[in-house]
Amino acid sequence: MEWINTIIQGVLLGGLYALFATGLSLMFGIMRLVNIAHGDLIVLAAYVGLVVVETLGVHPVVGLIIVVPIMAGLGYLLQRALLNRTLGSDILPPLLVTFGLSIIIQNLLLEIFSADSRRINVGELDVASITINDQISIGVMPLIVLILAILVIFALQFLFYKTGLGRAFRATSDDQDIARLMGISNKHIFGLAMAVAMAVVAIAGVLLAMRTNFDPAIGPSRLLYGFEAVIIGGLGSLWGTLAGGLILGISQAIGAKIDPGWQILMGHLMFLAILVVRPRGLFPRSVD
Amino acid sequence: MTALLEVQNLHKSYGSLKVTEDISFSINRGEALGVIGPNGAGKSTLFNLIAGGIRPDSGTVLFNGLDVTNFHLHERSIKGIGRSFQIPHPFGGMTVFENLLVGASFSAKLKGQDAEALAIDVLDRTGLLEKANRPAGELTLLERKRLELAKALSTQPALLLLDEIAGGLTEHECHELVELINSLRKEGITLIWIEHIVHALVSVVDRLLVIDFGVKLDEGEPHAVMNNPKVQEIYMGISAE
Repeated sequence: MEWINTIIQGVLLGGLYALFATGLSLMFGIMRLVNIAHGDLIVLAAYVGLVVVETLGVHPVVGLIIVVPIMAGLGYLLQRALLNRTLGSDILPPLLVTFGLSIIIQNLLLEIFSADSRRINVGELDVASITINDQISIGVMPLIVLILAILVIFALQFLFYKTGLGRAFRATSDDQDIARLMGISNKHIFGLAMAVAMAVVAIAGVLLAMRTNFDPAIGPSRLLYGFEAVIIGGLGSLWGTLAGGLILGISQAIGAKIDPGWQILMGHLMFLAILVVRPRGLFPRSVD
Repeated sequence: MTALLEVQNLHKSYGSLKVTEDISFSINRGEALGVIGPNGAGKSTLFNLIAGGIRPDSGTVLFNGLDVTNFHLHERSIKGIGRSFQIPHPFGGMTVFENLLVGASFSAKLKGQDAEALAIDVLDRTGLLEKANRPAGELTLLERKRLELAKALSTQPALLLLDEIAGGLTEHECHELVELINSLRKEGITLIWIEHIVHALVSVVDRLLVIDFGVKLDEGEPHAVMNNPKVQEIYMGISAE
């Protein structure tokens, strides 16, 4: 029974990792952009969320209505003004530029908010839980995170497979030049793709801030979890990314159960094990 | 009649290799122009210069009286220049129908049901209606070639550039293709067609343009061009009949 509880907690943790990973998965899937600053953008969203919640005094979930458009707009501008210029046949420029961006965001946040650990106060929700029996209880907040992660992926699936914009994303992802020949402005579409990815980043950042403490330096480790989840799931598959997040969460929970110091290590070991067995991840999109 | 497309003194080199050297020609609305020349003569480069895949070193491309030389690929597509490639480039992960919806909504700028209606019409004309919901990556080579033409048509082009679309087709398929292309002409679509299968080409086009080593060798009425000794030298033994 204790182990069942461990796995349930792992699944709940995995929901957050899946959200971290979804934005990365979108950026890589559509633009072949490996975004080293992804973790820091999540932390940035957490701080934007903090400011919104503290300034307006609204509930964090209501705050999302403001944070999501802010981050999406920032994403579009960032893509049009900077990242589009780095994309091409060479993979190195986007890596270098987003690495630089990562350092800039971290230091800006440090300058503005100091290195103090912060958290968005969610009041009673923080400790609320659903008791299944005396050994299993499910935290309401982690459950909300998991449900939101699943909803986000459903929404993205709908966007990708049922809308014109989604077709444009898929066409551009498939062959940029041919998509342009079909009348699609790739620079604009990349901007919109980044806006969508950053909307997910905003959700991930605010939920992170509601669940745990954060400070300006935690971005890179969130990036690592995100990468691991994306690669476990298989590049370009959204449901795979969700599965990757859950597997990573469960592994960490099992690691922590064996020994508290093993939590992070166990996640990395699971990642390596899956890479050995399935180098292309569990659900690779296509053979290309 | 004003020219729909006017190409003036186009030059393009890759290093010391001149792929297009001082090419000029124009084509009127509703006209069909065939382009022939040996492999590597610069025919596909000429298409890239017109459709916008590459920029010329010098020279201008006027479309509908508008200087589009520095226009992006997608802008030219929206303006009405459509092209098909010699090697088909379907969006493999999307269905055949979705492949056409992309052009219909982003280049032809149609919304919802109008885009769908155009896509269905194009599918019907290119014989792909039965394959509408199949992933484009699963099509046979012949079907891919049809889809390549269908994708170009889904952008509702005023000028259609066809690159060796008849290559590899059987005599019967080639005949069907010629009928389809003739029906497009009747609708008023202006055509430039690069083709090695000269008899198919000559049965459609009004004029022929011959390119060799990036230079315009001859241009004019198809049979007259084919009887030019210099052209016959390139196309030894191939007659226009």
